[in-house]
Amino acid sequence: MANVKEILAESIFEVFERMFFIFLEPGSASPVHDCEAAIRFDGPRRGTMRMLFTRPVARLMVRNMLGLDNGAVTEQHVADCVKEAANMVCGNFLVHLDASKKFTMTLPEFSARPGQPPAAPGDVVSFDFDCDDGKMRVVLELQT
Amino acid sequence: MSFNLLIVDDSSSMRSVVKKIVGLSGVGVNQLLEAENGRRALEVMGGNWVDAVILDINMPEMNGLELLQKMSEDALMKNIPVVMMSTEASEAHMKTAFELGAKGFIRKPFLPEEVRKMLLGVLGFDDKGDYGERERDPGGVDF
Repeated sequence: MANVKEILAESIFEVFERMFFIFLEPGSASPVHDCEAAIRFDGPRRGTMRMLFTRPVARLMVRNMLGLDNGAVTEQHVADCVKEAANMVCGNFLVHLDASKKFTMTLPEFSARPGQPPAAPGDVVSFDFDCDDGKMRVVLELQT
Repeated sequence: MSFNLLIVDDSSSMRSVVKKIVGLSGVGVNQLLEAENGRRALEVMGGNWVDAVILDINMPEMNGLELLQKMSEDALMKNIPVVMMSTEASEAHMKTAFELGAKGFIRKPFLPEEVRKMLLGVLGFDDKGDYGERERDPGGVDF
């Protein structure tokens, strides 16, 4: 699991720095998140990755990715952007986990009302991050 | 010389990013066409001249690999160069894409320079190939 955690962290940093120009710092957990994107994957390992954001972080991602002013950011932009973030982080993680194996990923799903992650019958890795504008959490559930 | 390019990605945000990069790439663009999935891309190619396609894999309705398969079965579409642009960049996915006729593969998250180089390559120009139409900043593209 140590290797998985390291690979996931590297994947998160790479995507956020390259696509969203956001430099994350490990942080404390937020009691509430405002939106979430979840994606499932199957292959040599099966699991689910959820990314939860406070609204200011999600809006910052949109502004940086699309070059928009804050007033021009719509809810559709937010949904689109956080789904794309989940897609890229998960894909990146799987390639780094084992590029020689074929994984399939579902389309990412967006929720504006994230709930508690269900208990998974396997391993769970989670990270909390801070950036200037708010907080973000990534939860990876690997089924046994 | 300018080209008609088709960007196929279910994320409108990602299509916007790619459009910006193409605009900054030095490639002459006549038309930038968009489609949100493979099925819609087939319709666009059926009604427009397309010089190259930038194609995602993971999409609803018809994914990128299914679109490549359809294009390979069409006498006109099979010759359109396709650059895959996807998070699903395992060796197996890339092998499948190249077997189906893709000419290049860019892994998301990408750098603008990677998109520019790949696009110029499939259109038959090298990375310096702005064919004298404009000066580019050698330091890269700011988007």
